[in-house]
Amino acid sequence: MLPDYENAINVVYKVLAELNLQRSRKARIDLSPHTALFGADGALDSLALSNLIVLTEQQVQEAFGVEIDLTEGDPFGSENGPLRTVDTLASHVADLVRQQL
Amino acid sequence: MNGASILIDLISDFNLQTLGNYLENDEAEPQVSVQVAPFGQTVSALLNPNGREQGSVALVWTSPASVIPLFGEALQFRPVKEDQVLAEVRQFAEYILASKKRFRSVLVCAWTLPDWFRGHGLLDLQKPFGARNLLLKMNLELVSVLQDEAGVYILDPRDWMQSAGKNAYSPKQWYLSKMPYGAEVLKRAAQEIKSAMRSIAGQARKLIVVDLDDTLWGGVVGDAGWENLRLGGHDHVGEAYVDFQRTLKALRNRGILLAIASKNEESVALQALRMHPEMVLRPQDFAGWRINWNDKARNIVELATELNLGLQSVVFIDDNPAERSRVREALPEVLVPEWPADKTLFAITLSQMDCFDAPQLTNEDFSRAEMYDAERGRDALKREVPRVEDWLASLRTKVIVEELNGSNRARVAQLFNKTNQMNLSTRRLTESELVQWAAEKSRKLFAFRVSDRFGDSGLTGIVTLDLNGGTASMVDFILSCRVMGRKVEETMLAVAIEYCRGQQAGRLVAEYLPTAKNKPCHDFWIKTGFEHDDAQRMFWWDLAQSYLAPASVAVEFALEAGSAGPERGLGVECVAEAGT
Repeated sequence: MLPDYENAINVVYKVLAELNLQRSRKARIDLSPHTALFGADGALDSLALSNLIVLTEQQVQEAFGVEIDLTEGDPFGSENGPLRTVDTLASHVADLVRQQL
Repeated sequence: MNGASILIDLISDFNLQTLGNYLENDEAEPQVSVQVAPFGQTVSALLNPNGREQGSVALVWTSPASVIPLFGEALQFRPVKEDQVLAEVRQFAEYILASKKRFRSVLVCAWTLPDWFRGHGLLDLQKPFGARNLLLKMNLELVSVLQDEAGVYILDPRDWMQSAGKNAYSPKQWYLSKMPYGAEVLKRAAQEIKSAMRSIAGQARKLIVVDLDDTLWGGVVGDAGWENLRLGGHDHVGEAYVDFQRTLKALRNRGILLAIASKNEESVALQALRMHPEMVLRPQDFAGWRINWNDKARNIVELATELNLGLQSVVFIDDNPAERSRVREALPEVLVPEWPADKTLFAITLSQMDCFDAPQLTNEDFSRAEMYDAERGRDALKREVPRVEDWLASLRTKVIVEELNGSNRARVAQLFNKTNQMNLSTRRLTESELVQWAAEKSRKLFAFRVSDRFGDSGLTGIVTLDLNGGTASMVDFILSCRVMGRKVEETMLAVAIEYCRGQQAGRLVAEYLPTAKNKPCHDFWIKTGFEHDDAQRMFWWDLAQSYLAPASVAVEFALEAGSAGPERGLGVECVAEAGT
């Protein structure tokens, strides 16, 4: 699979669909690029963020055959980091995968 | 189990919040709400609720090195004494047993090691160094302490980890959230926990109704003839059908009934079942069949009625999607699994179904299929012998009366929770609640085993009594429908009455509590000769009189030494009538 944005966001959507199985109907995460994940308006608490990171890394390995580390560079340190929205996460994933290939 | 959600306590030394989230948001029954005990405080969570609400079910899932400190030493390759490790295991098991007082059921996960653990490598399954060797013994010790405790069940998480594959363990997940397992393991764990809870609630399926052509064998027997069916032989599809039949037969051996619903000529299909040399299932393996050209939904209803089972007990297996769809639509209570087109997957698809899991297995379960076969013999005799009295006498029915004891309590609890029709008060009790109830000095529980010339029907009747001063109350009167109408009911009353007479009680009272299903019980009580009120709910017997036990039933007592059983209180005519 090509490490482009489209494929990367599909990986993120797949992970969010899995996370939604852990959430009640009304708390389900909207599968949209604009959905805020982390920060003041973010949909995820710290446990869900951990799950997001681990599942995304596993899905990336499955989809692109490379290992990435989403915890590098203190992603929880800033609200403007790569985990801020679905869109920023997908872009970050695509970048990391490209660097590995 | 529909309706209110069940409160489940998750007790662990790691963070089970994600498992709790899966459990709460999985739409499969039962609906649960979860409270997660603070992780790392396993023993205090087991022994002390710390203000938490009383849960119905507890799940105890721990890592072995955390709760068995000496095992942690062994993982550090320090020498430990096996008997001391096992003593720690017994101590931990005692904590679990102590917690059982607070929960109706406790599910305990066996211990595992992560797949990346190499230990002593080649020597790890061997004494004296191997951690895996030690862990096997620890799990066996845990099971041996817990297995006889009613309401405690051991789950094996190794299956969950195998199905999760390489993502079963996640070091990153551990460092981020103190959860060693990946999401796939937790999702599978949630499914298995719900499956266990359905089993405990008595929702196991009891009857498989199976199609014949292209389901039990390959080909259409009416067109090809039994000689040309694909079954066995040097043929991968034929072998797959044989394996599917073997899987069905294995389920039959553990007490699941089999029946046939097939669109065929009956004589042709039965000939195939009798004649084909590689047929695993023969006609006597089936508790009933409807082989005709009628609607299969109608045939399934008839079979369930004939076998005294509700439709919620039935699974229907058919290769034809149209037939599956028809039965699903007409009979939503019947479980109709999607069935693979690939015949080589039939056996494994059936093996993976969790709907047959039962919380206890009793001798009655293992011989259920034979019991239905015997029932066919009784029916055949009934048709031959015109007078009911002659038929009853020819059965040579024998009833053995027992008290509640360690060997029958699982079956007694099962009967309490499964019997609907001949059930006076329809009290549902877990095994441990039952034992607790019967432990009161004023109370008595009699269990009745029934057999006749056609076979052993097993433990099928229960009477419970509560003696309070001069009045005795019959709290439960329960009889499996499989022995109804053979004068066992009257024999149970005679035994109860003679026991109460022996205890110098003056009156025996029984209150009938109506349900949607126990009208047959009311119909029986009206005919017992007991006096009753106008509303026909209260029944009573003046214990100055004995109760004439049926002459067609022989009674034996197998009571514990020192017990005040009815044989010491039986009146002369009752002994003469019932015991000979």
